Amino acid sequence: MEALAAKPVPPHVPPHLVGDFSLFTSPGMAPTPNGDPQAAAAVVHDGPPIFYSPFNTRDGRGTWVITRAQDQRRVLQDPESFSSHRSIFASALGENWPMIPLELDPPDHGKFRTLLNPLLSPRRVMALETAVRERASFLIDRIASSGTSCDVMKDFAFPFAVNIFLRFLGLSDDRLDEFVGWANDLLHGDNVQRPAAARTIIAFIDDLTAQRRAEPVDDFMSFLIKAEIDGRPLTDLEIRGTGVLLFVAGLDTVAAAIGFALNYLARNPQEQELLRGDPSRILLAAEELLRAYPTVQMIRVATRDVDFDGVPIRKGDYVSCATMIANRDPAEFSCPHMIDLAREDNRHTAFAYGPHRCLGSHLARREIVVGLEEWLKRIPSFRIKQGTAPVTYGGHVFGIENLILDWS
Amino acid sequence: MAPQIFDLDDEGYIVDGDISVAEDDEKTAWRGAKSCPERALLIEK
Repeated sequence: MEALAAKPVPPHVPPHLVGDFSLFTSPGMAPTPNGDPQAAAAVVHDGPPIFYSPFNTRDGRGTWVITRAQDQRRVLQDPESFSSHRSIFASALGENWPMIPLELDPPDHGKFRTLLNPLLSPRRVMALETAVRERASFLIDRIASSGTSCDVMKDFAFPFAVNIFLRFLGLSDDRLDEFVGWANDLLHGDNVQRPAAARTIIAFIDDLTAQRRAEPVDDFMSFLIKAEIDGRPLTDLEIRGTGVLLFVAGLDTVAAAIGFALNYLARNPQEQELLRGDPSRILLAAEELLRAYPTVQMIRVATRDVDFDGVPIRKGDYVSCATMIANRDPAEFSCPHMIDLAREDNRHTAFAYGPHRCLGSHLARREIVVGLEEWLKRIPSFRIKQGTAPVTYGGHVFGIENLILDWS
Repeated sequence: MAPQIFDLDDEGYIVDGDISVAEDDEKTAWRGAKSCPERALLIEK
């Protein structure tokens, strides 16, 4: 592969550890009709536990790839050696500030998690459930009453996830389409769209902060403005970094999870019927669908030279821990390619691992489970609409587009 | 999953510390421990 050969590999990387797998360029990673990028990524389990991929970030950087779930846990639980401060958002603008708390390391990280955890705790999510279910029912009722086909992403998954997010921010639905567009440009856009979307989102967060500072209400940004860390209020940059992360983390991921789940069920009518007939199965099924179709890869930066079972990771090297790879590790999951909607002991890493475990995981899980419950209750046996093909893609955040279902 | 075994704090997170499990609850406790995604629960006999 010419593109890869042209990419310089750092001299400390032993040539036999250079692999040609990449979450961006390998087969199945580009937008593919009826694709299965998570299964395509699992080919790495035929290879060594760790290898170097010369092109494995959006901006074409090389990373080490950790394939075994157990080794990924070692990396993700050792933030002293593997930092998460990459300024992934700010760097799109040539700036350097962290999204909070994701891109902070301990001990600062813990202070922000202590502040933010209660906002998305299991208890708080229970209180949000009524609103989540009401929204899902409303959207699906609207779909059911307007025909026997819809685009799940456009008509349900995105409006649902974005509505819950906006509710959290204390905003109405008026600008919903705009938000979806920003998130889409930011996560999946080209080199012009991404920085433009980043600037728009920052302006939006800054503007909202100014409004709430002038007139506080009972919402997330007002909470941040009032909050204190180490006995001082948050700086403007900290408020921005936290607001931006909420935006980036909460929209696309939940929508994609719902999309991948309904894509699977559309192709497996018997399993669909089983869940519809016994909704108590949905809780475990949702976990298995998160295991099989996670969307995120965590990247860490080595803060020092590390001998990783004989492999020389150097300070500054990127280390990729892709959830879709860990979740298909045969050492952790029997028959990892088989999707078993009743699988137990399902300790998958869809929400990562260690101190940066997803802050919103409890809310995300509720949204996914409630979304599936209400969908299966209201929509009869559904399939992929004939003549259409959902497009899946890999990359930094995996996703699915144009999921057009039919239940005529 | 098993409120009779695992105490939760006000926010719904599990309270840390040792838990003694009645014999009848052992299987449930085992399943609870095995479902902790962070592998924070250890079982000692």
